[in-house]
Amino acid sequence: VHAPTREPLTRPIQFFTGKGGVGKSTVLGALATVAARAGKRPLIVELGIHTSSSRLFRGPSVGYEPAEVAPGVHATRVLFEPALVDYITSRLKLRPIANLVAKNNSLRRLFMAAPGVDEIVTLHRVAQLAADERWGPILVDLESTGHALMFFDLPGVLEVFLKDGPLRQVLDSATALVRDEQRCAVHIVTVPEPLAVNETIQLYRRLRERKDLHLGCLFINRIPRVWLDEGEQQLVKAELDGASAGQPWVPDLALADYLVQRRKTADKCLRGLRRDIDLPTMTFDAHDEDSFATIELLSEAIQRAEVW
Amino acid sequence: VIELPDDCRLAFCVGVGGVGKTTFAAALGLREALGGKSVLVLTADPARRLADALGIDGLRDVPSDIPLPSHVQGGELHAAMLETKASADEIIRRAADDQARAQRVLDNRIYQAFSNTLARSHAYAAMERVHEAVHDPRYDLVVVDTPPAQSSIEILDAPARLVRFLDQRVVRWFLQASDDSQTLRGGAIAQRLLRTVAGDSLVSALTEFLTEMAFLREGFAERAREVRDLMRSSSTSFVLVSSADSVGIEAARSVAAEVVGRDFELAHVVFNRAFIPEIGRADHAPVSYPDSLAALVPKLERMRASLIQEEEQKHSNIVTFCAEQGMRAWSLPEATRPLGDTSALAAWIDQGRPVGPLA
Repeated sequence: VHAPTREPLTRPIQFFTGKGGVGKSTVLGALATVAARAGKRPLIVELGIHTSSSRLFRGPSVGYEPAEVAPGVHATRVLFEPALVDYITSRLKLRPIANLVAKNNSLRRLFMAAPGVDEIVTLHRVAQLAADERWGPILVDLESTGHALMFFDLPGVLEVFLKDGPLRQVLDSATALVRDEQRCAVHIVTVPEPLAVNETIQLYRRLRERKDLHLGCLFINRIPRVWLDEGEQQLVKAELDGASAGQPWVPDLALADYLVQRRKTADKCLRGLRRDIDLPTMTFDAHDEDSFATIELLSEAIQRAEVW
Repeated sequence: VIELPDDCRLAFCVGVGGVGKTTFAAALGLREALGGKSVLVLTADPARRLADALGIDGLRDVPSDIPLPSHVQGGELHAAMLETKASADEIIRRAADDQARAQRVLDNRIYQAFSNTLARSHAYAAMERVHEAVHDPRYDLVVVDTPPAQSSIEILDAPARLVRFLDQRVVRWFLQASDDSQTLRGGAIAQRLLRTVAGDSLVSALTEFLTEMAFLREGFAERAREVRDLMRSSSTSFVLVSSADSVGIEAARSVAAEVVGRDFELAHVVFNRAFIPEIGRADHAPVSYPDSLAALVPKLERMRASLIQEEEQKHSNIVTFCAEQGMRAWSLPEATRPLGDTSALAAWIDQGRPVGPLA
């Protein structure tokens, strides 16, 4: 285990981004499990409409208030309305008035539809959780790559016209958080499949352009297993193309060849990722087990993993 | 086979990314074109292999004609990019009859800060494109491949959100509240709260923006309402595309709830890569392998067993999904060989198998 390359995983605030369906929540769940077993107080923060952690851990349904989904692992969802009330409360200092404002139909409509408000109250909530000493590390599950870029670009966008005022303070604290190399890391999760890899490389380049962001690790999930050695692969190919043509065992050979191709495609993707992405990298094998068991397997893998 | 209702004029393919949604949207459009309709597929840029299969080198904003097999009579297939980046400015220019005022909106700080950064304006721009295509007499059917995940729902919500934002009462209340008129005390108090919460500079910029937008509002709101109504219309169908592994099933649950919760009609649920056709054929009789393969047989059997286990897990996921939702779903095969041309693409979607209560 190389201590310097693992260092980003020890920072108190960790963002995870990557294309949908790559198993981001599973990787995040495994990291949270490892942290909890090391005696820390990990909090998984989910943004947006999807929630995965209650299902992944077979725990209670996750809402706005942090709930324990597995021993020592808590999770929360940033929901718009309670996050808005929290934000307003932090400005007005009086929750009943904040509730009134949030319940005012016209104001609520304006807030919900106005561009940026959703993002601002989300940033505020994340900063609030980050400042809460009960939690550490905080693992933020950014929905998709587009969402991640928007999230990190927002402070820059708003800076244009937010010269002062309370929103400025939210921005400043969120920006300070994201820019603090001691406290924050942005990790990328992907799988070795062509579509995901192209998007991952593009995302990496765009994030790297942002000098104020601190990229952490690359996690490559679901690496398919190697079934056949070189000689066996050639035998399958030769039989498939020649001697066995039209025979009843051809489908079996086709399946074998399909699994071989799956792995070859993955190897090609791994080479591409290795070439183009200069980050400490951790890889995880594909597992047939359900996600609950997979989290356990990945947690074990993290503890004994070698990092590129 | 997977078909859209006869009177369907607009089909949205929704779901998470990375499950072949773009390929499915193209295949669905192709299937309908082969049935004799003139179809436009609006999609994000397809993967290289799909572009090859369609016989095009890439997509543009302007529709490309997709060559169909020569025996096809009557049907046409066109494909274009669903542009979700550029056109917020165009929308403003189109909605304005006075270009000088349109320019003032384009120059507004609020507008500039948000129009090209946040997903919502992209989503609205995309919906405008869809609206335009549906009203284009050249097409009988428009198939839309929505961007993945979060923004898939975002894009569906964009028109309704814009209608809400431009709601006459909200905007009038907001603008009048910035006057010092004594008769609008309620609004003034609320506005003071808003200034406390959001800050003076933002509220001032927003007021300026809404004032400039005021003249555009009517046409804009009207258009947004039209787009929203179009989505609820009986000639609009939604097709949910997902994968059948546990991650995919969970995403499908969530997206299905979002679609149904918005009163949109969910015509089909399709699980891609749910089975491998070769397994079915290999499953029948025990095979006596030749000597040349003898050493490999145990491994071949383990490999097949592993794929069968994968497939059974997926099937049971789909069955559970159907039981919960009380609806039928389709499973589509994993394409173990690349789909080389439109015939292969059509053959692929025709292999869809129904699963669930009505199967």
